Amino acid sequence: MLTAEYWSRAGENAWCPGCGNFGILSALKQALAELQLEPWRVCIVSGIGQAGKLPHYVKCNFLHGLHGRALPTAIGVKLANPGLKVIAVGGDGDMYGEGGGALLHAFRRNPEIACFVHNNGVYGLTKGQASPTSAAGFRTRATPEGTALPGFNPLAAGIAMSGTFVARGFAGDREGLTRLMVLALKHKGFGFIDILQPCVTYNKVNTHKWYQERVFDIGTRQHDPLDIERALERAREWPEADPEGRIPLGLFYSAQRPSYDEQLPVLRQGAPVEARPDPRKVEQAIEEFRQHGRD
Amino acid sequence: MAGIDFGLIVTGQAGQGLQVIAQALAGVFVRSGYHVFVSQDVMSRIRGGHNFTRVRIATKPVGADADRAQMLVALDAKLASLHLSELADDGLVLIDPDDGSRPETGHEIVAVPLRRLAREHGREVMTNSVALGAALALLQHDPEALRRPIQELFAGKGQAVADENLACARAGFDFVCAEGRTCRERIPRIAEDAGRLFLTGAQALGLGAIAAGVRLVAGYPMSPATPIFEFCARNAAEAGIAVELVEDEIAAINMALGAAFAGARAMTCTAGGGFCLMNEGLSLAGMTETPVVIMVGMRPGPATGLATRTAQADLLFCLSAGHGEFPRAVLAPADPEQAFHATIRAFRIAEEFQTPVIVLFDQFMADATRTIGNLQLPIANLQSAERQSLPEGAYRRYEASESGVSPFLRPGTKGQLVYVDSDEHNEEGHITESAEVRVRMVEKRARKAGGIAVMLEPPEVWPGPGRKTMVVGFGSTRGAVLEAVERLRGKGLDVGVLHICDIWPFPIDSVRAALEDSRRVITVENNWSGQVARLLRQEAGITAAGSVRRFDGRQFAVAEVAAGIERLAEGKTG
Amino acid sequence: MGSATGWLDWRAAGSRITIVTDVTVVVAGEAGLGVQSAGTVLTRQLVRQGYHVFAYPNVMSRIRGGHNFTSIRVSERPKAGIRTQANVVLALDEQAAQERKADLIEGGVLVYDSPAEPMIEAGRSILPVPMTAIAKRLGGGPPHAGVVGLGVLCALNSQPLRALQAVLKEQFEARGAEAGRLNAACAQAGFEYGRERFRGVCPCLIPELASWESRLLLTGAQAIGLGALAAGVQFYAGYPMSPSTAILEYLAGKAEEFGIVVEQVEDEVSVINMVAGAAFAGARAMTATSGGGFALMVEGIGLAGMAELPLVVVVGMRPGPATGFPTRTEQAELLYAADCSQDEFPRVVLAPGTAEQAFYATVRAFGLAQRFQSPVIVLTDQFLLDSSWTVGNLQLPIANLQLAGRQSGAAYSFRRFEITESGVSPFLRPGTREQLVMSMGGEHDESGLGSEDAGNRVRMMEKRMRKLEGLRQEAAGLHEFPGRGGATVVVCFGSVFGPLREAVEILAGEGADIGMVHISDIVPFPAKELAQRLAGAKTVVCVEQNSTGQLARLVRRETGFGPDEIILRFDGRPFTGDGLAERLRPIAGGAG
Repeated sequence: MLTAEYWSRAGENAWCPGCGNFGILSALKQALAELQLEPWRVCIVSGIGQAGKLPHYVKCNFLHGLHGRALPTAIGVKLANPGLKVIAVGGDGDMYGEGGGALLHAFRRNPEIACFVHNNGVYGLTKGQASPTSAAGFRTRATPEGTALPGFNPLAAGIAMSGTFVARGFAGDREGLTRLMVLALKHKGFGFIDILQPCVTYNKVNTHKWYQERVFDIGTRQHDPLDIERALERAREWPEADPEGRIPLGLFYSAQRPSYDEQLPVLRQGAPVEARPDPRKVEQAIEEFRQHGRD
Repeated sequence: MAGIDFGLIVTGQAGQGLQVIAQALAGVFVRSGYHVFVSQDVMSRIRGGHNFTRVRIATKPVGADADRAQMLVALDAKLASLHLSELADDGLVLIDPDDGSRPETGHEIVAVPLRRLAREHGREVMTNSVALGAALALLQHDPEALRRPIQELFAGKGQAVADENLACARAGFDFVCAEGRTCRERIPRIAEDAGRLFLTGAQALGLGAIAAGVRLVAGYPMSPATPIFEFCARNAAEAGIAVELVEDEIAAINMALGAAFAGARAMTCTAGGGFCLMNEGLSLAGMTETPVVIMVGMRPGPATGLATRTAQADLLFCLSAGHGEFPRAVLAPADPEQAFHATIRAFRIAEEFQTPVIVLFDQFMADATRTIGNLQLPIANLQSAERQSLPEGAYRRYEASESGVSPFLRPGTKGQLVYVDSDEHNEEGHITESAEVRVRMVEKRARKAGGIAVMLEPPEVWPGPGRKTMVVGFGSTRGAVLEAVERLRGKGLDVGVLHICDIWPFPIDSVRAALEDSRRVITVENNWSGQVARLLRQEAGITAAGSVRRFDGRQFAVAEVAAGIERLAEGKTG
Repeated sequence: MGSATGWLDWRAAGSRITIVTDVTVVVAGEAGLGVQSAGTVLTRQLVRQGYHVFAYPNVMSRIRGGHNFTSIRVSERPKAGIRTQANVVLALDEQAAQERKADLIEGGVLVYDSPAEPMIEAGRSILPVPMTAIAKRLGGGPPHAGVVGLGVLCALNSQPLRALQAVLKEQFEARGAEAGRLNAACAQAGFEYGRERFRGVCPCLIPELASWESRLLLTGAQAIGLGALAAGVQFYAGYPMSPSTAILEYLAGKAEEFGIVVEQVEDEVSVINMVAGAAFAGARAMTATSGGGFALMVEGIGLAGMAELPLVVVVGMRPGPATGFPTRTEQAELLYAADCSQDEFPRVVLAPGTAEQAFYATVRAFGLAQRFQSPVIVLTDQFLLDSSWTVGNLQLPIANLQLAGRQSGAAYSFRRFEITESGVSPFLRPGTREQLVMSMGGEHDESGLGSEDAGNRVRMMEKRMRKLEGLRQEAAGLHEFPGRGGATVVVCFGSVFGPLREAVEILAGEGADIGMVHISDIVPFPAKELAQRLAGAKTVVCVEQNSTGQLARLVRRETGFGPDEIILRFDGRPFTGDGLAERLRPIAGGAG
């Protein structure tokens, strides 16, 4: 039916040639095509950064909002109109730094939203500062001595918060990423994918080649996403300790619990955006405050 | 010799290295004895699009772009047409004929095979250096003057790269010479290195902080404040500063307050939305009487707005920011020189009055580079408030005083405890709900405003007060306004300038003295509603006749300001 | 004047009796020991007796201990504020008695929990009653002392005990038969004690009225909650913060019945962004907050301004800065509400004066938000939100809630920010068949895609700001009292409405040439109207609850008129009508 091309929006692209964002965009369009969704039913909510520009290049509804706030905004959209397919998109600075608090609570809350994080280990649009996922010792103009902190581990955080779909993909692995995105978009809950990508302009450490040499698929037969211990082990596998270490990709963990949407009684009545004020009910509510005398 | 006032525009896509050309040319001419002013127009992207830089080379100090350019260097020939209206009739357009495009224009075109020469003498990415050499040749300046600037610009990339770029520049230079092309104007060396400083507003703000003895800078990247943070980071080890890149702006302000509470001079720097997130912390600073300097860079909003462009639309926001009421100071320097001194002043005010101080600037001021004279370190010392000797346990953090300022002790002072509370508190620092204590504390805090006002620099009045028309502005419009007014005075208009840097507490008396005898007051400002005009009426009871406003994200042109003033001065509708 | 029994016997002494036109009863005690409950019961009881009641809780920021009191004003006419002094004080412990004794008018009565003997002190009757002991004898404890005290008051003020019993039954029914029986017994015991020992003591009677209309009794917060329901709110996100929490809790209680999503979220930054998302999706969305919570929302309000999202933010002001006095009142965020967030965009700030006004203001807020696709702030304070008000009725307005008309156009042709004469673009919900809605916080073109073009920026800025013209035309006028006259004109906003009205009434009654202007639609500021009004005045006064005179500044900024006098209060307590009259008298004249 609909091809990936159908999901493109005409217009100039502001990303650097060779940017990992192109791979992510391509996988997303492919995933949307495979799911045979209609553009008018899809809404992307994005934050600020180069990643935040993604919805401009996709034929869909979008709200390109504030830095770090894509998740609460997306939750607001989804709760107001559960009929929309809602996707939250942002970079690592946006989702793990500025929006770090909201991310933890999104895992807990488990709304039916897909969340795709463009993780390139650097702040690109503001020209090259360290981000929460920058490698330890990453030198930038803002951190000339090299970052002193260990990288933020979104997968471990998600698993610890009982995330129901905690996954990692790679912009250079179009097929694998598309597969994960399809799963995340179908998932009845918070479908989170940390997507590794190079920043060709500002991150000369975690290049495309660097990732290519290290990533591998944990597979769906070898890895049981219900096994939290194993998931955490996988989540902690990263070349930080061992520079030759490998980087697992795939679905790490899937806690089995209902989505927030399923649990909210009010949503069973229908989409809140459709709710019509009932004057009688309001009058009754007012009357609850009436004091009657002559007891 | 007649004065020189030469304008040059370099345009290209992001990533084509316009800055090299602008900075190298600036380097040449600053060292040749000229005043130089460079402004940038940058899109919010890393590659592609349309960026440009204006370079102005003059024999007198300049603080605004030239109205017209005499040369346009287009690294992407397609972009040249966007600047033709700004080019003098006899201006030159320098392009690469192999670029696949040629602007349709009556201007003289100088075609230099930039890419070919770059490939031959270095690499294609060095196209910009070829253009640099070509431009210098057109200005008939000594090519040797390029050696040092290119060396400095490429030092970080290795000597081989620097040499290649120099070779490319030389190739461009030689090509133009061989063709015998020149600009109408020649810009020769006029003096030995005049020893001027050449720096951006952001660098000056950073220097000011270091000169003031800042000890902790907490920040989060946000245009146009990021370069200040990076400047401090670069100098952190040498200057002994803890420079912390934190997770968000809420952490940044609270970390700065924590450091200040502990006794270290602390600051943060941000813009628009980042400042929004700092509002709660700002209020905390006011209540706890914690000194902090917050540098706020203005850019167009609302919300994300235009991230890499300029505006002056957050003035009223800065004055009201934060819930509740507490004294604050707001300083709005116009240029690097004022920025340096205002920052030092800011730290002094913050510390002496235990109050938050906002240094308010904008993208235009932050990113423009200009020559200034030497920066004198202030003679008055920046030492911390004296320690008192007190009986053990007797210290009261919020002891009332006539000035409203309480003696400041750090936690960790032997024998004393320091209690600080964000609730309303008594003199000891413990929570109170008493109405009487509340009133005393509010009044105590408010009293500090009087002392702060005394520390402010009065606004600038030029040439003197009470001209028939007075033009009022603040911050970075100073350069364009002064030049415009000078031009108008040259035409016989009785007009003067009142320019405000230290804008809060509002200098009511100075402002009234400057304006009360004039017939017409006009403001010039980069916002839609005329915030300076509204503030003038609010604080001084003076109603402006109109405002010259610009709110498209770009800085004023001198001609534009002059025309606007002339129109309003004659009573035409704005 | 005294008697052998140790209190003021008004029959013997021939003192004036106050037949209730205006009586204040203060109920005071430690937090956690039933003082608020006693205050609530008494308030209800008085309304059931046919009176208008205004009750203001003066509460410390703690859960146990400390000193709280409720000032309950009883009258046959509606009241919108409290008085400085009390006729009767019911104190549930010694400390409360000491603190509140000074509030009593001459001839007033203090009833407090103690085994001591009654006496007269400085012309006031001090009546100890062993309330806790009585309660214990009946099988209760300290929390029931208040009920005993209420029974005593019934006797003193000639209130019908039956009314008290009915309210107690309702209040404590849910807790079981034993609780019901115990409370009834305590009330009875108190009543008998009072009737037996304190005959003729109290010079104020609060009898049941012969005829009256039933009334609503509700807090300002509940009124705003009702307003939201009346407006058809569909989405509420919030974070607990005094004094706005009651709104969150009220709507949470109604969520399922009304089909509203009510979300308590992790912090106020997430709150405002979630509300923005819901608004983008086309829901009628709101939140309520205070002080520091509001500060965390200003970036999101800017997003609403740029992306032209309709949302309603209720701000309940309390003393700051920072944490300040969490449970007290102030009006120090006026300029903040008007100027917050970077750059400029149309916004509305409504500052209702009473709970009734707040109900209608909330409904209007949603209408304005929707029709002008702008953020609307309902600016109120702890005094309005936490006080209990009697209101005759709340009419359901014919809410004009339609979003701007939608275009029918070719598939995928919708332009969210189409430039129009009014500045209001057509609004579509995302999820509308075959159309896309694109919106952003960066500057954008008519389609909603990003643009850095200078010309576009100017056009968009002008388009957004054009909405101000339409908003100005929607503004409710100034409220003027008693009429348009007055050599002295006194200006206020928000909940100062009640106290100032009362003060003006008092002074006008004394012959002063005075009038008041209440500004409820304060942004966009009614500059022209106010300037006209002030032009004819001899003396202009601003009255506000903050320390820097923010209203005065705003008036001067917008009209050029500076007030001649500014009356401020910033101790966390509300103005009273009589207190304000005292301060205005030297300015406005009047017999005094």
